[in-house]
Amino acid sequence: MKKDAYSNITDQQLLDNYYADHNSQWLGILLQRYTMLLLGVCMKYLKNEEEAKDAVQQIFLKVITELQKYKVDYFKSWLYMVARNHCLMKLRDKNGRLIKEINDHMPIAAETFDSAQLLEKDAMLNYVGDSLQELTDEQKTCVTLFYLDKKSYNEIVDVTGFTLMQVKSYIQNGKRNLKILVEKKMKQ
Amino acid sequence: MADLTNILQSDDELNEEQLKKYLSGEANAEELHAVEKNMADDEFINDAVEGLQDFSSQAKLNDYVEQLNKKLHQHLEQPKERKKKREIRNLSLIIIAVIIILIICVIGYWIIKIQREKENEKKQINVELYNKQNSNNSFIL
Repeated sequence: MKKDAYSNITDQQLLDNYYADHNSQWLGILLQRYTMLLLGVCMKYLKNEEEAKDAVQQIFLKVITELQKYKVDYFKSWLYMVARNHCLMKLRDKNGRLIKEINDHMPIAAETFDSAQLLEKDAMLNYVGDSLQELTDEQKTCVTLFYLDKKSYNEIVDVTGFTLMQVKSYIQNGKRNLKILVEKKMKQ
Repeated sequence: MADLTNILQSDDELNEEQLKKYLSGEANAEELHAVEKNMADDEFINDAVEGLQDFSSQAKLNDYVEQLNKKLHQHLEQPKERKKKREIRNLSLIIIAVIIILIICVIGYWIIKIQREKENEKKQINVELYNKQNSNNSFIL
């Protein structure tokens, strides 16, 4: 979320600035970028506007104390993990049910770095084209409509007759499988 | 076929304005696609947009975001002020302690001085008495 006067500074730079001079002003700028997204995530899990707002506030406090204690490398994925775990814990307290914590979100930034490196190679284009044909029909249709024809989710729902949930998961899984296939081909 | 590489490429970060436009349904096809591409690439954005769509009104959402940002900044400013207050309190305590010690010293000095004067007076009276007695004795003799 970038709209402030510091919009040209990346999250990582803001974090580095904070670690360098311990001025909490940097944390303010950084966290403010994510207020709306966090509110959305909390709303998705807690399904209550007031509770979501309180949860975001608690997440802010938690994040500030954690950042003072140790260094965080992939801020965005880490923040998402903290927010999700906080919401799941709230739900667990409320429902008395056991919900598994999620800890598998750290490598996201590393993944994007990999794909950026991969992109530099010319062979890439052919690999993507070939791999696209190897996806399941549903995934292929949704990925093509979404990325190549630039259709919106709702348009794809109308065209294919799938539900919104299905369309989203076909696109996400399709993309993930495509990436795996391309990487496999590049190693050969 | 150049578009094919778009699938694996991550887009630029979303900004709040884009997101608000998307939520209110004012985004054009291109803007719509930009947000949804971010959603497909990033579970964080996907969860957030799904949650934000559940808000009863855009105005309430904006209001909440504003409140949260305000509280966040208040919280971050607080420790600094508290530290300043603590410093002032520490300083005034030191000054008060110094003044009390000085007053005790002055009072102590004063008491000692008075006692010494009294002792001196007593001694003088004794000497005078002794002198008087002596002169009386010599007179009798």
